Amino acid sequence: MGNLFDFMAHGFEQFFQYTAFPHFTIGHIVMIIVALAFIYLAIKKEYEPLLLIPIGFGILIGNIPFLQDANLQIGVYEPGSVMSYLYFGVIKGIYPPLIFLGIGAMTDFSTLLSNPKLLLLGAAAQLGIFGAYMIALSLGYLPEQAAAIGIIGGADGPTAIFLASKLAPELVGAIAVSAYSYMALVPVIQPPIMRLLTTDKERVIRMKPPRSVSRLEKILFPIVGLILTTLISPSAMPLLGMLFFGNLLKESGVTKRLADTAKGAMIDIVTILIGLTVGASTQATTFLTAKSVGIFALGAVSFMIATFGGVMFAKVMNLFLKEGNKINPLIGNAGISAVPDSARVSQIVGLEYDKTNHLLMHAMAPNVAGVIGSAVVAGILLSFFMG
Amino acid sequence: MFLGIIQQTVTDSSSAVIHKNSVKFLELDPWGIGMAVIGYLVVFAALLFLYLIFANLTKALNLNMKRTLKKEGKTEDIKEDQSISGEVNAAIAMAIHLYYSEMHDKEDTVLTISKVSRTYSPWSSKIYGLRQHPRF
Repeated sequence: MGNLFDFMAHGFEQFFQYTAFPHFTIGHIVMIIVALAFIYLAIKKEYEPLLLIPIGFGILIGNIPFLQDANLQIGVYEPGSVMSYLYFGVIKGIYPPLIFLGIGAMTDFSTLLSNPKLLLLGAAAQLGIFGAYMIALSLGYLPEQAAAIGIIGGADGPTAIFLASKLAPELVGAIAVSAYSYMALVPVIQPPIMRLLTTDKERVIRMKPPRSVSRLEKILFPIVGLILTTLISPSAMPLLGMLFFGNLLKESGVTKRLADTAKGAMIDIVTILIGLTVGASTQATTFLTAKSVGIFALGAVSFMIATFGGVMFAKVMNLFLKEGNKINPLIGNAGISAVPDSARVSQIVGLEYDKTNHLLMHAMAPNVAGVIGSAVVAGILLSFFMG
Repeated sequence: MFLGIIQQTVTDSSSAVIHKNSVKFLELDPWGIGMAVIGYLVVFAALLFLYLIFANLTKALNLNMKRTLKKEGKTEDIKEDQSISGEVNAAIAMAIHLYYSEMHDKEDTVLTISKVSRTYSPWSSKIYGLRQHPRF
């Protein structure tokens, strides 16, 4: 009888060890609160719900603790687990190019083609990447880590994951979560900087309406764009190749089925996988470190510098442009590639000062240029470190 | 297995290259100024090239189109200003928004989704509905 009780007590104890309760730490609780905050922001405030819901739920999945030594093969970092196989697409940089294919198939470059000088705003806003890189270096991060952190300033989740997976795989989770969080917070971060850097007169500048763009121009853009940008930065080929390929599928007009798949089911599937696995990679035991906190702070700084770069460059361009061709500096913020959120911010802030001045169409041009710009920068950084 | 070994070897060699370059960067460019300046200039150069090509390509295409139209004698079709006004854009955007949010002035064909339960009657029974095989 005594043996039976011993056996049952041992059984209960063993079962208890296999539950999550004895392994909970403060870190897990903090991460679960973060996950709930993401889900709240996505549902209640509708901040990037397509990203924040998968990431938030992924954080929940990743932060249910379990007995590490039991070889249960359930965690994202445990070889052989389902989550580790799905996470493979993140650490090997497979998902980001697939997302770029979908983005290409969704993006209409006609506003950019009607006013190509706005491409330069997409380059100017990349200041955030290099500014954050320098600050991260001064804070003691290794150069390759600083580069991976800096790319957050491009405001492009897939690009950030792509570069971080190559240069600093140990920071992918923190960088991705930081990039996507700040992308969701673009409507909060950018407007004060835009107001601070512009005068009342500049905010009401009316830009020349975009002209209609011919089909030939739209077809030529992905082909010429790919050749030119990848000649300069071949390391960005996986991203730019897929982006322009997706756009050609859309603009050619003869591959509607492929374009529909790329911008529909395929990008949705990859978004689910990338969001969920990146979220799950933020296990408190590996994620909650001083470095991760630093990455979060640097992410915010990089977005601010990027906004500064875009708005200020628009002002500089205005010094050389004739009256009637001037650019409203409120579209400079859209040089970061958070499509279309930052363009929407330009529109909203613009309307505050002139109810009839619609900036959305104009802001979409630097916005899509920012996507190209951040991919080019990722290529440059890769070539520096892997060359 | 074999692929796994190759992959591991590739990963290890890339890490070694990254580490080597990282050490070099720390030595030569500890503040990252050099990298920032070069990187910023390169991204500007890439997008500047793209701008120059497309600014001129558009002009060339327009010139070509004007020539073709002139040859065909359709001079009235040659318009200098092909721009669409902001108001027209806003109106188009609003129409699309209304269309997608189904706020247009037509009523939807589905009038209600609330469940209506009625007492059974053979006249309203589902078994006599459309799922019956048609009789020829």
